[in-house]
Amino acid sequence: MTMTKTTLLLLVALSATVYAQSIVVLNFTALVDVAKPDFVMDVNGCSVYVYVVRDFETAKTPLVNTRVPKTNITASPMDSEEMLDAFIKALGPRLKAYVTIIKPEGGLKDRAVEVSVHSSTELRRAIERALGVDLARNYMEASSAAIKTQRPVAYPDSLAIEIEDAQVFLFFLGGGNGSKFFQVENLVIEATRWEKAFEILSQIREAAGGRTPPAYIYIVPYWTDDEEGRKLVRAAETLERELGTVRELPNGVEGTIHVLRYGHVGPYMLVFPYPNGSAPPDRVTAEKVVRRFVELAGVCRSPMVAEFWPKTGYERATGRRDYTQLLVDTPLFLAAAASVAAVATAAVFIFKKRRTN
Amino acid sequence: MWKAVLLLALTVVLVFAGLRDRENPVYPGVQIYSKSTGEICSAGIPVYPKSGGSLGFIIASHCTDPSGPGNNVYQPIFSWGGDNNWAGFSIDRGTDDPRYEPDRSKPDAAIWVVANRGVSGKVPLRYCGLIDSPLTGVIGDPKSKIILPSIFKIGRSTYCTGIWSMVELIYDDRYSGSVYAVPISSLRAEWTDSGGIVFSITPCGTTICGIQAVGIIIAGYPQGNWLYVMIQNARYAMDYYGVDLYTGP
Repeated sequence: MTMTKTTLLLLVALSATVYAQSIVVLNFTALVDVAKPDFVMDVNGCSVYVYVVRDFETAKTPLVNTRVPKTNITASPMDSEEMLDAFIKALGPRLKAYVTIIKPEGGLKDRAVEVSVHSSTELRRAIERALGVDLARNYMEASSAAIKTQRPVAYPDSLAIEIEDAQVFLFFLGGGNGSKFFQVENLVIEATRWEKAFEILSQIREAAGGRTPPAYIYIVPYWTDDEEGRKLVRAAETLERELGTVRELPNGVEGTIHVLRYGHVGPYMLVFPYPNGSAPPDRVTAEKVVRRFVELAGVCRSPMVAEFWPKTGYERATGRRDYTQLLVDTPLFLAAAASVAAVATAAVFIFKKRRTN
Repeated sequence: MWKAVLLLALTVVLVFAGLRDRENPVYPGVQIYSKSTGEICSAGIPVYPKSGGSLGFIIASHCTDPSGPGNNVYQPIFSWGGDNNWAGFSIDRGTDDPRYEPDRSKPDAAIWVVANRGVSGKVPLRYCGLIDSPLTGVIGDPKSKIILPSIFKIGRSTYCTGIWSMVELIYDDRYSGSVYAVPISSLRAEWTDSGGIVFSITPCGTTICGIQAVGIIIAGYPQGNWLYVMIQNARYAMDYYGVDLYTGP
């Protein structure tokens, strides 16, 4: 059994290693083209891609039965220190370090500090100086140190830089077992243009002595922000009331508007219920709903996704006590059922044997 | 012949044993029963309060009540006689309805403070074909950390589900606390998986570099035909309740 588990783990880890050694390009800008929109509407110069889902089985939209367009390119394996040094050499010395602070009284807090460094060996001290807090390698060490010293202790999340049309992150493994102080998890280059992303990658490659580092490259239409997110949510709340589609259910709610995004990366993706009950909206109705939403939000970024689903809202993943189901679920019941089957089979077997004798 | 049937019976017992049984110590993913309406859910992330107190788990707030008899937690379910399977109580300052909740800081998360049982901090990875191991950390800020190398969950309904390949987290602004959605094709969950632990395994070389807490299962959408599973972010809930990961045996 242990052998099987080890073999499985090895296979999985090997396949994941191969994956981690490539450049994975995720094109969030092309998300609106993964499926043909029903129509594209212009709202004061902003393009909204509208998809009307008629049934979930066959539909293809940015959120239904598709994935973010992805391309893989081969890269060279690199260890954490090489990667970190190449990153600092190519994009430093002024960088932003994101950390998590573990509070002695419990809980976690994010913080960002500016540092100026020329190599990985300077990084730890530079972060500690800027923070005024000790830096541990990872979550486990920071947690133990916070208990021991009764003072806040941080661990590194990422190193980042924002340049024109791009943001670059070097993420550290927050909970790792490696021996290095900074254990790099992955390099992420976000850019609004392909050329810009590959220009940054070339800079890092040059700093790494000509070897291409494994990386995730996100081609993004724009970056989102929390204030815009809040405006979209408030618009969703108001429009839901106007449409009158919301119905509270014992296990959740239906008829709501969803407001989604890939973290701080665009596009914003909105999901509307059918405004007129069970019939999919025609173009005029769909346009009216989207225009009203944008008017209420005061936010529209190009491109934006608007999908109309036959059902929206959520359902809690809970269940009430159902004695029949619970009985069937219990191992005791299953064991009893199997035992009865075993005894019956054995009885038939013995009976047949006696008759033969 | 009868040996084969008995073997089958034993296999059935072994496969289904555990998450839905009375367990001591209790561990992530086990079945719990709480709330005045009697909800069946799963245990999530093992935690402890740094300020002192008992070990416990982050569970879904909608699986328990903030006060009254409905904040007692039974494991696996309330039963007449003996200790009624009583296994502690909850501290619930969260919300049952993260969509409607006017206080946007409230997560659909609560703490099950375990009593009458021991607590194991090990994630029962045996249900995923691996060896049980403790968590080694927590996934970072969901707004910048979009990609995970893998994603898994363990809950009392669907046991271990997930994928060993890259998954993108979709941040969902609509709900209070901090919620993300993952396609159900990557992370299957069903009723009674609520509260179940969601984690990411980072492989490096031929070994595992880390098992990081992602969050707990809270819901699925759309109604009646889930395309996405909703996860309450672990990091947010831990900060909200001032608790840290428990990684003990």
